[in-house]
Amino acid sequence: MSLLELADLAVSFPSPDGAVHALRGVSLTLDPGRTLGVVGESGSGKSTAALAILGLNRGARVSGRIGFDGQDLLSLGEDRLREVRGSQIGMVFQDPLSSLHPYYTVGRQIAEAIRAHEDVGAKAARRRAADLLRLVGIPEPERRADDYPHEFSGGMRQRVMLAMAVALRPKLLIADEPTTALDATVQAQILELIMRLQREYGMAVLLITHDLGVVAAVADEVMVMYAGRVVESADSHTAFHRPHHPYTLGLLASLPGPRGQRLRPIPGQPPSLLRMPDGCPFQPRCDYAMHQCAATEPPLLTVTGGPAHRSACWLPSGAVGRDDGAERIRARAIGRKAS
Amino acid sequence: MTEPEKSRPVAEPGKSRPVTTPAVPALSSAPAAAEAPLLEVAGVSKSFHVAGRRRLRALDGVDLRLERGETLGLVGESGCGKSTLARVLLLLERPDQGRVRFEGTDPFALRGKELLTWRRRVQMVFQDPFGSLNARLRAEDIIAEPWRTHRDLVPVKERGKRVAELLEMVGLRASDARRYPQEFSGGQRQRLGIARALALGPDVIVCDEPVSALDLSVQAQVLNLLTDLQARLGVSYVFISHDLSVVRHVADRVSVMYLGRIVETGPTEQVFDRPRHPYTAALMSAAPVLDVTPGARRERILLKGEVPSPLDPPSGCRFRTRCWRAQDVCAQEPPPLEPSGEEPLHAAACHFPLQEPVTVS
Repeated sequence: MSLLELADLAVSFPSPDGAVHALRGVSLTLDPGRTLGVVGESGSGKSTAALAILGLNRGARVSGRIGFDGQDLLSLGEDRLREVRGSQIGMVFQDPLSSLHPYYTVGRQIAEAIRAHEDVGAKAARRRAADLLRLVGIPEPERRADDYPHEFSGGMRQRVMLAMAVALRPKLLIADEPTTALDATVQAQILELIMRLQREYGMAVLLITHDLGVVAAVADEVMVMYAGRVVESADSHTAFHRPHHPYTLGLLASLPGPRGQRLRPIPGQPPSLLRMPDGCPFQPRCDYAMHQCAATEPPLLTVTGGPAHRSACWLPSGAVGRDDGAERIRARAIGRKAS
Repeated sequence: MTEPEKSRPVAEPGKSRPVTTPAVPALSSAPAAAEAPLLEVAGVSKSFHVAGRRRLRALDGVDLRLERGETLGLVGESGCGKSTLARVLLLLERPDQGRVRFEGTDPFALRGKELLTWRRRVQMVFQDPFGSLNARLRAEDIIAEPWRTHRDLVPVKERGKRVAELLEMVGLRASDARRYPQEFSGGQRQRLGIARALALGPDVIVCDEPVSALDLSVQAQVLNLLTDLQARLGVSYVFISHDLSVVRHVADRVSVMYLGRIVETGPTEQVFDRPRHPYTAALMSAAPVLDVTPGARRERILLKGEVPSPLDPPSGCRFRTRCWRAQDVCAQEPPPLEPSGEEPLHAAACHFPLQEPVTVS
């Protein structure tokens, strides 16, 4: 059974200009021990999805189902949800400095997180805090437990956040841009640490990032989001080597390549979540847009080979990949001569 | 919310669109300095006093050379001195030691009007397209503002026309002149920042993380624009970025910094494909790459610990405390930045440089 199962999740926020549809019809499954990478650009809804799972979307209208470990989180009361959050679902965000309290030592904050969920004495909790700091690779953990967040570097703070996130051995770790604020060598250390903790604890990891390289490095499966919808999902090899959705193709073509090689950016920018275009939300920017794309929004359907690869696009299901053959199929579909 | 940006391809050099003259004729045709590099920095050091009487050595004997029309990538992690070096190049920070030459002239020896003339030749594009534009000025005033300091550059009655030219040069519309920054998207604002930098007809633009705040698809648009502008105007870039794939894409040469020193420099392909300094090799291996072939996940060189404090840097080679190749000599002698035999333009500051490319497969 899947650990996490979102079904037709929709999140909207009321605004003076009308409802902002941050998420529409998002479904996903995540099994224990697996890593799902969620990629997308600003406003695609990836963080909204994470916050919805955690029940942290204040003022939002949420519908659908968030199945976690056999229960529907959306039907839980705030108290029950608080028990799940923190103990069974750990979380790490981009900016550890704003997630940690500046007035308290990190040891105290980790101990407090433990004592909020378990009946342990102050001393035992402190000892566990120090053990956790050691686990995440902080040198001299007993001494460092008495330091304040500002006394740590960015990378070390993110380690502290991870110590807190895994303190209660959660079944799921949600990591929202966990390495975006970090330097490259530190990013590599933190990704390595997340993978090690995952192995040791058997956690599922939901990794949200805008960085395709990070996803490729750690994720088993990839979900690409655009304008509040899942437009493609597949295992990470398929997603990056045999993508179907033109948006995924466009992202890959935007990646800086060798020097002198001209990049092929996606023209324009994502639509306003207040005024979604008719039909497919990507259609105004799409190279392969056809008549039906502006008329009807394509559902997320299985494309070639196995049920694991799905794409929300009207192009033929065999048009996967970045090679000439796939390009010919796409060109034929839209009635254009292949170049 | 801004209205969606229409796709508007930027004119490619030498194509259909009538060749617009650069908004301001470049000064660089000054005959005197034909042989000297456009910009040369030698042995530059800069310290700051912090926390009472302690000294933070932000730059420690930095050498740098920039030719006309060239892009130099500057790579390194937080606190390595990239931004201080950028400020020296912008003549905003006077070095404690060392030499800065601009076409053979020491710009720091100039005063008054002469200094002003030199200043306009190095301009800057900032990382944050939201924080670096005055929200109370219209696009036309943002672009024209530098001309209030550099009064003689563009006659007042031609300024409107020049603004329109600059807007079109960066892929915006002349009609955007009346809009305010907040009416533009992030990518459009970055174009506006580039137009402002171009307004003074600089020879060098220091780009400090110019695309790191942008989404991938928009980042590619701005990178293409920078490439086009260089081909069209012959401007040189000092391109500071933490994103190695971006640097590899745009830079002709790369300099790698660590704790205030340049540890490696050379043509981009040589530095990326055959790094000689262990720090460079570790940095390259740390960058996530899109190779998801099963089993091909690369071995990373995971560095131990963190960058030491620049207030108390290690003796000798500054990287030695984290280096797996370090020996006694590394603690005693700072290694000089020296070229290798086969690659005369490729230099590394290491006593035990890597000979073979480190296999990271």
